[in-house]
Amino acid sequence: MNDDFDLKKRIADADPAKGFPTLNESVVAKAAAGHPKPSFSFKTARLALGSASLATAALVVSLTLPSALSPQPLFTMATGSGQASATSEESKVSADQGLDAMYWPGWISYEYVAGDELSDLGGSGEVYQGQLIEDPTSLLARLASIFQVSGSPVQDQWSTPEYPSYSITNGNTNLNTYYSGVWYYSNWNDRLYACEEVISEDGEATTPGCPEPKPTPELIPTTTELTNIVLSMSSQIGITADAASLTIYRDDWGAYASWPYVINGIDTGMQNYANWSSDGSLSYFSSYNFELISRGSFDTVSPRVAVSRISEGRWYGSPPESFYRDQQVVSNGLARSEGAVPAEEPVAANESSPAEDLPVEPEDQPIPVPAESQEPEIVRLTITSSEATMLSVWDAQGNYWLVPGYVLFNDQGWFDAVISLPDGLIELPEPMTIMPMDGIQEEPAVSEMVD
Amino acid sequence: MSPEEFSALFRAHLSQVSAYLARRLPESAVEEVASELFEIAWAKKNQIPEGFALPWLYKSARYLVANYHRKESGRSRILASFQEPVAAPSAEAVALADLGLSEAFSALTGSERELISLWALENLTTKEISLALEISENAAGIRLSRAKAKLKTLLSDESFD
Repeated sequence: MNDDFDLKKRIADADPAKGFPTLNESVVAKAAAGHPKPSFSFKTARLALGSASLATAALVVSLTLPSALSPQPLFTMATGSGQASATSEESKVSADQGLDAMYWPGWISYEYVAGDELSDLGGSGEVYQGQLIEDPTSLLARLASIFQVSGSPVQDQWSTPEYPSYSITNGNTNLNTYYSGVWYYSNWNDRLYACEEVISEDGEATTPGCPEPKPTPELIPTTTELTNIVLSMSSQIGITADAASLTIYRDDWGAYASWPYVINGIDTGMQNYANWSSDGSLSYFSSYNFELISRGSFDTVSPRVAVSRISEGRWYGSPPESFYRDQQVVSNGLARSEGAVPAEEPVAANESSPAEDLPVEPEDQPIPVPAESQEPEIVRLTITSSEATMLSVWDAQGNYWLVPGYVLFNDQGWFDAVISLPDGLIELPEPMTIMPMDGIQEEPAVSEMVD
Repeated sequence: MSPEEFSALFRAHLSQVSAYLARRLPESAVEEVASELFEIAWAKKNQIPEGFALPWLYKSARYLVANYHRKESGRSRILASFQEPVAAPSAEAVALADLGLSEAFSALTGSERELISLWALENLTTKEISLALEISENAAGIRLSRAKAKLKTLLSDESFD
C-alpha cells in the first residue's frame, strides 16, 4: 500500500463512467463494413443552412440594417459559445460545456438587476467573420522554414473533413495547425529532464530517479532580448506585434510572452504566446491564421437591455484577454471599442472609474455538501457599469466571429460579457439548464478498483 | 487486415473506449463519437502500430473529444480553447462521487487532469500515456509524477489518506 495506490483507488472510486454500459459491438462492425453515412443528415442540413445564412449575410455587407427588419440569422451560435463570466463560480459551474444539463451541489441562482447608472441607449457595431488566410499546408511549410523544422506537412490521423488538422513532426519538435486557424510550434527538450526510469513494485514504470533540474537563468534572454525576439519573429511570420502590447514574464526557469492577435488593425481578443525553456531555447509559439471579414454594421441593444440577457446563459461572448487579466475597464483600451459604438453618449463605464468601483474579489467558498439544499440560494447582483467592446464567439460549425457586446460589471467585483446584437440576427442555442444535485451517490465498492 | 480481423481486434477494446468517452462526453454523444473513432481506425488500420491499438485509440479519441467540445461549446476562453487539445474528465463529473477530490481536481490544469485520468481511470502505463499524448516516455513520467504530487498536496489539506 502506498500513496500512489491510495490516490489511484480514490480517483477510480469517483469514476464518472462507472455504470456506463459498454457500447454495442455493432459500432465496430459498422466501421469495418464501411457503413455509409447518410447522404443527408441534420449536420448536412445545418451546414447548408449556415452557408445559406452566410450568403444572405454577404448581401448586406456594409449596410446597416434597421432593427425593424428581420434578417436571416448571420450564424448559429455554438452551445455555450464564449463563457465570459469572470468569476470563481464560472469555473465550477460551467467548465464542462458538453453537458446538456449540468449538476452541481449548492445551487446558486443569480438575479441580475440593472443599476441606475446603466444607459438605456443602443448603438451600432460591426460584425466580423474569421476566414483562413493561408492554406494550412502552405502555412506549415512556410513556418517550418522560419522555425527550422524539417519535414513536410501531413494530415493528422484524427483529421476529419469537418475538422481538418495538419502537422509536421520531427522528434520532439512539432508544428500543428487546426481547422479553426490556430497554429503552434512546440519543442520539448528532453535533455533538460533526462532521467533513468525505475520500475516500481507494482510493475508500473515511474521516474523516481530523475535528477532535480538546475536553474540556468544566465541562459534565458533578458526582457529586452525577449522583446526583440518576439518582434523579429512576428515580422518574419507576418503577425502584428508591438513592444507596448507585450506582456513578458521571466524567472530563473524560463520566460513567457503574450500579445494580442491583431489583424487589419482590429484586436480579435485572441492572444499570441511564446515560451522559452530554462536553457533559453524557444519551446513554444502559437498564433492564428485567420483574418476578419466584415459582415456588416448592425444596431445594438442598450446596456440595460443586455443585463436581461445575462441569466439566459446563451448570449455570452469572450472579451479581450485584458479584461480577465486585470478586470479593470480602460475607457479607451486598445481597439476594445472597435466596431462597437455606443449611441449618443458613452456608457456608464466610461464615465466612472471602475477601478474604484470594483470591490475585492469574493473569496472562494467551500463546496457545499450535496442534498443540504434543494432550493437555490438567490444571490442578487446589481450591474453597476458597462463597457462596449468586441466579443469572440464560435458558430456551430466552429467558425470564429467577432461581434459587438458589453462587458457588464456587477457589484461583487466580476463581470459578464454579453452580445449586444438585436434579437434574431444570430441563431442562439437552447437555454442551458443548471440543476441541483439530488444527493450523494453511493460509493462504488473498493473491490471494483482495478490496479 | 480483414473486416473480421479488425472487428475482433477492436471489439476487445470496446469497453475501455466506451468508458473513456463516457468520462469525457455527455452520454448522448458517446456512441456517435465512438462510431467516428472506429471509422477513422478502419481508414487508418494500416498505420496503427502493432500491439498498441488501445493507446492509438486513446490518442485519436482525445482529438475527437476535443473537437466535440469545440463544436458544442465554441468555448473561447482565450487561454484554454485553442492550445493543445485536452480531453480530461471535468471536475463536475468527479464531483458526483467525491466532493473533496473534485475540489482538488478542479485546481489542476486540464493537462494535469488528463494525465491523472489516463493513469488512474484508464489504467495506462507511462509508456501507453506517452503514446496517447504523443510525448516522450520520460516526459510522460515526469509530468505524471508532478501532477500526482500536486494532487496529493491539494488533497492533504483534507487529510487524504
